[in-house]
Amino acid sequence: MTTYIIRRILQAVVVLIIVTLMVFFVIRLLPGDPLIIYVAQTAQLQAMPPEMIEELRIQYGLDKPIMVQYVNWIANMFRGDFGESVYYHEDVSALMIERFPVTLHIGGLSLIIGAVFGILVGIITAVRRGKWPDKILTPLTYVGITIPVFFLGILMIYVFGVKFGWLPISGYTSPFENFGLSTRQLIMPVICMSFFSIAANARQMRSSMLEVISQDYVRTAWSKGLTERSVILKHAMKNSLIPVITLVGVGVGILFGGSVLVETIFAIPGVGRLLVSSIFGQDYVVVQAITLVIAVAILVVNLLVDISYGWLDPRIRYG
Amino acid sequence: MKKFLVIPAALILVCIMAFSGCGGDEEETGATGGTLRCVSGAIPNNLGYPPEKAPSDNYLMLPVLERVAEWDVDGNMIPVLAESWETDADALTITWHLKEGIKFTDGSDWNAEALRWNFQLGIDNNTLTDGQYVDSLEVVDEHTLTMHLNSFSWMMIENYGLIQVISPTAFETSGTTPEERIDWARVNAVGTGPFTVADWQRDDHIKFAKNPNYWQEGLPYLDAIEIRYIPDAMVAAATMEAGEADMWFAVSTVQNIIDLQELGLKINWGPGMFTTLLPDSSNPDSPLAIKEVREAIEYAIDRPAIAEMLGQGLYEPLHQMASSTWPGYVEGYDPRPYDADKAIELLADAGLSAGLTLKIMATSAGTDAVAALQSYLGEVGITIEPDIADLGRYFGSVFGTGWSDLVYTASGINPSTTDLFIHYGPSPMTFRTGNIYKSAEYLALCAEALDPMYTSVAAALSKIKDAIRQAGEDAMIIPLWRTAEACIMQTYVHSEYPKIHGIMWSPEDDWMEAH
Amino acid sequence: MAETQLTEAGYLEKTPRVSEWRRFRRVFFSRGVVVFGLVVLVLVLFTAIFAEWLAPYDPYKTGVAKSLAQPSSEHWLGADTLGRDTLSRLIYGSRTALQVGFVSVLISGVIGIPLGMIAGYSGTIVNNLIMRTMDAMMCFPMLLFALVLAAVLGSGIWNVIIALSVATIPGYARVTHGLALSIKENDYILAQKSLGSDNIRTIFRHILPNAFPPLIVLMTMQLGNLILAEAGLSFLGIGIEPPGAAWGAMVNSGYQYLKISPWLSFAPCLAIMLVVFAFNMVGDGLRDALDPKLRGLL
Repeated sequence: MTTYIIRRILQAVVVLIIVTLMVFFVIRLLPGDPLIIYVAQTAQLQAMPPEMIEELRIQYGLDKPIMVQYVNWIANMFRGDFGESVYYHEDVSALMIERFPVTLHIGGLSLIIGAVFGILVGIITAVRRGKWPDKILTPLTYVGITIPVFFLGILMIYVFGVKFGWLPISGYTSPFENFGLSTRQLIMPVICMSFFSIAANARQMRSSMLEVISQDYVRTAWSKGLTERSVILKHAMKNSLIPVITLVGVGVGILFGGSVLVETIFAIPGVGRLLVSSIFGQDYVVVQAITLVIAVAILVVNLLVDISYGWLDPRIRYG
Repeated sequence: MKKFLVIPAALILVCIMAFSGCGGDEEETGATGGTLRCVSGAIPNNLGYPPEKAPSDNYLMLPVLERVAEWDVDGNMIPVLAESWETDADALTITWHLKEGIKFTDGSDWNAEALRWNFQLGIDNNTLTDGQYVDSLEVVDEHTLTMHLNSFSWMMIENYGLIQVISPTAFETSGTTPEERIDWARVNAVGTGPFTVADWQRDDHIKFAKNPNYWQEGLPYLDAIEIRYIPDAMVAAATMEAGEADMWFAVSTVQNIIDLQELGLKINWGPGMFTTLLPDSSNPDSPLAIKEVREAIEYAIDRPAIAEMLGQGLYEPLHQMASSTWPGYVEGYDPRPYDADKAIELLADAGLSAGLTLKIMATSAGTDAVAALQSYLGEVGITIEPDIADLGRYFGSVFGTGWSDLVYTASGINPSTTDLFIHYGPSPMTFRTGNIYKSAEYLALCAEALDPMYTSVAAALSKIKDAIRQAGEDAMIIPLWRTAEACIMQTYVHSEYPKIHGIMWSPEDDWMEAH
Repeated sequence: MAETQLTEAGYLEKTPRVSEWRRFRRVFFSRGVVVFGLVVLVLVLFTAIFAEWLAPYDPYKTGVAKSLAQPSSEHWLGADTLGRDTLSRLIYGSRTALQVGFVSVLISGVIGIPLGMIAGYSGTIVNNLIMRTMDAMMCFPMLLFALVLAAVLGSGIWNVIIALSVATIPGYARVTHGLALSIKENDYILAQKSLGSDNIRTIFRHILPNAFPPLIVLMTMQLGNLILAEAGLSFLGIGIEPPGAAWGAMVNSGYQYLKISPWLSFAPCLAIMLVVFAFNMVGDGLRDALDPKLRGLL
């Protein structure tokens, strides 16, 4: 097991190096001169002389060869210095400290809800196959995996925010500041973000449950006269969870992707929206830092998922 | 199979039904004070460091940072922090007389030295418009500042007077190094305004609290103003409809304006944006260097029809380099009304009867406009290849490295005629890439309009109109339409925003009935 | 499923080859939803191919008189703000949707499958180089990856296709790699090797046919995700250029008119949902019919 873990970690380190190379070079291919954009955004009504642009170029280290810039970038990050945003005039690390907690709050809740409700709906629809809970929930899972997230968001806003007035329409409040408001504001974005995961997990859970239920040892458990609950929980569910764990692992990636859309709709100052505005504003220092942090997060989650597989299923260690 | 679709279909039905007939009545009991809750598609990013300010940083910070002078409804300059000013075209000076007894919110005095410091900051950083014409700044006495210039035009009063001032004392004492002070000023604003910054979260919200020592007696009426940033217009509209916000700034999405107007919300109309197609006519290899091609394009576009489609009655089709809301507008001047046959004829004259292919660069916000232009230009044999750019590349090209063929632009409209010079003059501040060909006649007329003998827009107006007419004769640019802009507010809100234009706001006399 | 992750473990055992056409048909057509999905796909394909004949109007023709026209016998789904017939644009949009889906899947498959195959069949260094690069690419959520790439490449449907293709390459590489590894160890290939059969022949004769079931299932399901991703990119302002018609872009430009013309956004949204649903169902059906063991992995 230890060799397996060490091998996995070594692989992850190699992947990490490739990730940094990709983040740095792909983003540096962004068209346009970042300094011209800076000038256009901040001093639109004014003429800025070329000498000043050159000065800024030196200030941001953009005059050096690209490999030197890459090495500097890596070296700086080890010191916790992610560079300074050209647009915000703020340390990127400070921006990320502001934004990541928001996205992790919403994303984390969505991940948990996606897993819990996904599994629950999967079990219910499998156990009550063909009965009314199945007939209602299964079509809903079809909606979940097919509806474009941003449209779902707009519809929810109009139905629950405007028409019924049950929920605040948009915004984000820290739970430490006002827990009630924070929770009420979170309901729609979290539903919006986890709807897909709930549906995908439920579909997965349903089909693996159906398979397990029909297997011999579960039938044996039934025949032993165990109650339904204990059969489902103890036997069937445990064995159908493994594929769902995979999905939850993958879910981290989906949530970071979804945060881009959900944060834009619900006016949430998270990292997804910051990323989008930085991409379109070509503030690539920010884009690099955020994509890197997200990629590393996903890398770590995948590493953990892999290791837990190795632990669950010894065959994998030798795979 | 049907059962699988029944639920989604039912859900969607519910949703459709939910869209009909929303809205409510407001009770009026009459009272002042309170917090004005605003939503906006832009939010200040730089609070108080003028050299780095973007336009939205300027007008949204008006509750805190006031101007020396501003426009009135007719586009004339009126004093704010100044008492008056005088100009001497012969001696090349502008003298500002400042109001007395005004203090910044940090307790320091608003005086001639403070104004000098603010001007100097702009000059040092090359961000004061027309700063290159300032030779020296002379503090004559506590409340008098004289600017010694090396040139004079009426535009300078606007360009210098519109400066938003910050407290020099607060800035200078905020840190030990210049970097520290700048970092501080980016996130702190100390001005003379009716409000102070109470809370600010980047890209999310800003809260202004009442300045109890405001220099205008009895003002402001409001206790606080809160501006929330909502990037999606539809969501902002929903916020207004649900009554979660009192006011929505700078709305340009036509259907949202119409919907909210129908719900009975109040609309204050802003100036909108001046949209044009700009050619790369200074490039001799470009087909747009040929005047007939530019003329053909203008003839081929049915501007009233497109303005009606895109604006649903809220856009004004443009026929000249001025909108009818502008003092420089030349009454009845429409050199090239829609005439597809004439366009085809002109293309044939230019030797392009086989048609030609042109690029139009735009941002994703201009997608519908480009589709409409494409449809009309296609009718006369001009194939359009749209180039939808992200904001970074778009601004980089339009203000920096230049474009090829055509670019679809939208620029702000000032109440005076300075737009002419800001955007299309001899040394424009926006479209200064040199892509547009400007005839010697046109440039000469622009220069004449800035002759020191004119001390106000009104005096120079006939020359300005000549320049606009000349631009029309040259088919210098292709004016398209003026877009709609509205400030939408609940019925109980009383605000003059956008008082004259999108860039003016006097939050001190905004107030709300009890609701 | 937006992203399907396969552990190599899934393919340690030899996947049984499915060759009985009859069994395939029986299983595939046994579920109503699957048949429904298939019918939808056939109809959409038909619509896309014969869009010129099916569309009642020119989808690009603007006209002020028809601006925001309500549904009528002339315009069943009304018209957009530029007076373009919604139904016609919807019909032409099916072409874009299938184009985005099929071309992206094709590109990513053509690149990803050989990569996985080469990696699985070559020495440690090449294997590691390829697969760690794939791992690195999988660390970026598909939408973010496509967003950044599309920003690099610029807007336009082809750039969206390229961005989505690149973003989905690692999925195919991983599946193929896992298969190649497991199949490689199988006796009959070892036997082939000892008989002197060369690598390329082995790949084509033995590995590809085995890899076919999971890959075809992955591709089918991926098609739906790609169409959804295209819609998401449209919302963020990256997508088809005017005057082209794409469902995602239609939803995006239509939802401003939710109150007066809900069909402008609901119609393309339903179209997206229907097609994504159909691809998922057909994917399910194919999986069950081709290789039920894939359940839980795809």
